[in-house]
Amino acid sequence: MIDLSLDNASRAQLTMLKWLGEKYLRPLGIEADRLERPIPPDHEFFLKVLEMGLGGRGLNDEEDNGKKSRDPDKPSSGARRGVIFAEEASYWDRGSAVALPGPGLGGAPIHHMGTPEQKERFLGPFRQKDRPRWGAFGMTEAGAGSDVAGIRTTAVKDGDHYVLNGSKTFISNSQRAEWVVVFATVDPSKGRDAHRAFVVEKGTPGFSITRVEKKIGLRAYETCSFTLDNCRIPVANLLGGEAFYEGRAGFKGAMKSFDSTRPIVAVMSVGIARAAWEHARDFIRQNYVTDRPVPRYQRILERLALMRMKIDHARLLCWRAAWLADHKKPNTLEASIAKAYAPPVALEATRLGLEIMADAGITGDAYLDKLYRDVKVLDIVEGTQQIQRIVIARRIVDYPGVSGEPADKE
Amino acid sequence: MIRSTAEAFARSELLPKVRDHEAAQALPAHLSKKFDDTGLGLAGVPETAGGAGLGAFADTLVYYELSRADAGAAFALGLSGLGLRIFGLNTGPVHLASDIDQRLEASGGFVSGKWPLSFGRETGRALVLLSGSDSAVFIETGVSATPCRPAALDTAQGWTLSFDKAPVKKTVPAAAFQNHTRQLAATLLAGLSACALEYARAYTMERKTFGRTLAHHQGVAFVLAEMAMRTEASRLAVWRSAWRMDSGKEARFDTAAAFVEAAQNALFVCDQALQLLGGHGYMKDHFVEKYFREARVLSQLWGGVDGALMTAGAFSTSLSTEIGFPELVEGRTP
Ligand SMILES: Cc1cc2nc3c(=O)[nH]c(=O)nc-3n(C[C@H](O)[C@H](O)[C@H](O)COP(=O)(O)OP(=O)(O)OC[C@H]3O[C@@H](n4cnc5c(N)ncnc54)[C@H](O)[C@@H]3O)c2cc1C
Repeated sequence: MIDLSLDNASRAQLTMLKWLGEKYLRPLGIEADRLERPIPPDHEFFLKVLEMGLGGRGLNDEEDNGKKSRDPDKPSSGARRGVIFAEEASYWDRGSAVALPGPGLGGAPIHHMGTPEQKERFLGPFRQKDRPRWGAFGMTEAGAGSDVAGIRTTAVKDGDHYVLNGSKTFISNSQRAEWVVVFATVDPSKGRDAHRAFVVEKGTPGFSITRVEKKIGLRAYETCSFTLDNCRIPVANLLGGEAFYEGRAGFKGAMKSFDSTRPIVAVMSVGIARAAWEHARDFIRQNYVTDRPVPRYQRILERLALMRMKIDHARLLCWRAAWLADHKKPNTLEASIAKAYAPPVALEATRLGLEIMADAGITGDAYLDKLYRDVKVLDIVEGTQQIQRIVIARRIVDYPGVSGEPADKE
Repeated sequence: MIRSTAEAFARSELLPKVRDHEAAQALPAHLSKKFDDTGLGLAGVPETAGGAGLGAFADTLVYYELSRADAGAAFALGLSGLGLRIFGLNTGPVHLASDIDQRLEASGGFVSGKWPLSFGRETGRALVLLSGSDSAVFIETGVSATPCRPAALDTAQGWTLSFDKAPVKKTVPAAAFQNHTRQLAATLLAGLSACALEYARAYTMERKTFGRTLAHHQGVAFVLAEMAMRTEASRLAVWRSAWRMDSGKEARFDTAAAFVEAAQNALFVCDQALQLLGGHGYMKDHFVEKYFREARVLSQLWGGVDGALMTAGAFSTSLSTEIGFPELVEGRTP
């Protein structure tokens, strides 16, 4: 089945993460929510995180961590450790967890598409502890979210540079990022085949943040729109190099990175669900005398049990996808199943908690109300539940691509 | 290994005769014997009771595969060893009843009343979990069984039981009863979902409406995706509860959880499987009508979802929220 035994080093890190979660992640998340502003990049908390050896690298990648000595025949444990740490961090606060320094979602495409030199150049600095660093992932545009084939940001080759023009929207951590992995098209009429991924570095002339979004939740990190106005990007920053894009490699690269990020995003909702469930359980313990024969109490206990079951099972789906990834088995189907299943379960868990609390649940400062607002985004980012169903259907019944092209099977 | 042996048995012996066994309202004796000869029937039974001692996880793999071919036959085969699993002693087949509504009367060591439906081979012995009790009672005399036609799973044989001041012979902890019965039902429900999904998948890939394959209308594709998600969730849930049983820890929350997950999902999946075949699904020519009925019956066994939620609810406020890591042995990866 799914082996999730942790080695001692990982156990120690998990203990540290718990400490960090209680002392910083949750209080900072609550504060950011109240003040409606992200944790400032120069906050001492980020330095503390680096000192402790947490954050500062891809959560789910041993190679990013400079450990290359692993026996290549043994399955990796990176994806499984990834889902465990992501759940624990989100349990404390998903907003603060995303604010943690590190390559973030931008790490996956570099890992999957980048050349060894590019990996070292862009991910290597995250090993340093002198200051916090962030990376970002820029796919979405105002006119192209789910339908990524519709991106309009253009890349035109000019000597040993590409010139990028366009704008991106809802890109998390992009204001403080060292670089943003930006997806652009070399020919808007060719759909996904013409997609290219570039690493756009901080300070590139023509890159400017145009708006910081006002979100209903997850306020501990910023989500921004930016424009690219004749940004000149060296060919060396084209992920994978020119040859990589023969055929449909570019699009596949982006999709492949979703196979590893989707279980992580899915399990983040499990972390929030767990926090919500625990909050509801504690509220019951403190406020209701459940062995009194009050009809509502029996119902409450059963609903609490039912919710717990769904949370446990959502987690299993995430673990399953991660386990497959560690064993180098295809996991697109399982990753999408986890991503479609877990966020609605988590939303339901927060809602159930609020209902159990009755009137106390609808006061604006209820902690569960924050979780209710926070969790919703997980059903939207990294592919909505509808998009996951398209991916699942493509795997099980060769459902044709959304824009009518043949099913993408590898 | 176990899984592939079970799959081979299911495909070659059960699948071709599904309707015959259903009509005969029993599995032919030579088939039960053949199953016993494979050793699969005793795989999970403790060595002290003459089994292979591979535990609940092995059983789960076996009955999941059998149910993917025919839940009725899987149920018949699973029931015959259930008494053995609960007791750890060879009691032979027993009738099993879980009374969550105080329909049976128990006093002074005797049980009386009528029980509407029980499955399995008729032996005159019964194991009853009485309402609100934390033990199940074993009864050897005073039970009479009259054949009755169940709404589904005919192959497993249905009976109406009558307890006439039947004396309690022995008691067993409720946990053993609840874990083994719910785990078996959950496993069959998970296998049934997988089976219904596969049937509907194959059908919708063939049939065309409005100029394209049925499965390629988004309204249909999304339903199939949902069915696949739920089937996967059920399967992982029953694996997990089996693992929990084998770990020797309190498993009642987990087996109840697996049952609820598998029951709710099977009801959805089997209903939608019939739906996707349209009018054809409503007819006996296809298997989906059978799955539709079987999901209903399996999900109501032994206290059903309500009973499982009662059990789980009693544990709910004392559950920890730490992530529990199943430290499983790699070798058992199916
Ligand atoms: C807080 C936050 C942070 C984000 N961070 C990032 C980031 O860091 N980087 C990044 O690139 N993006 C980011 N995003 C963007 C996010 O990925 C998109 O919002 C998401 O992909 C959905 O796109 P959309 O908003 O354009 O919705 P649309 O694509 O317009 O979808 C609208 C609705 O239609 C449904 N729908 C669309 N197509 C179909 C179809 N074929 N069949 C059925 N239903 C369909 C969708 O499921 C959805 O319900 C972030 C978004 C938020 C809210």
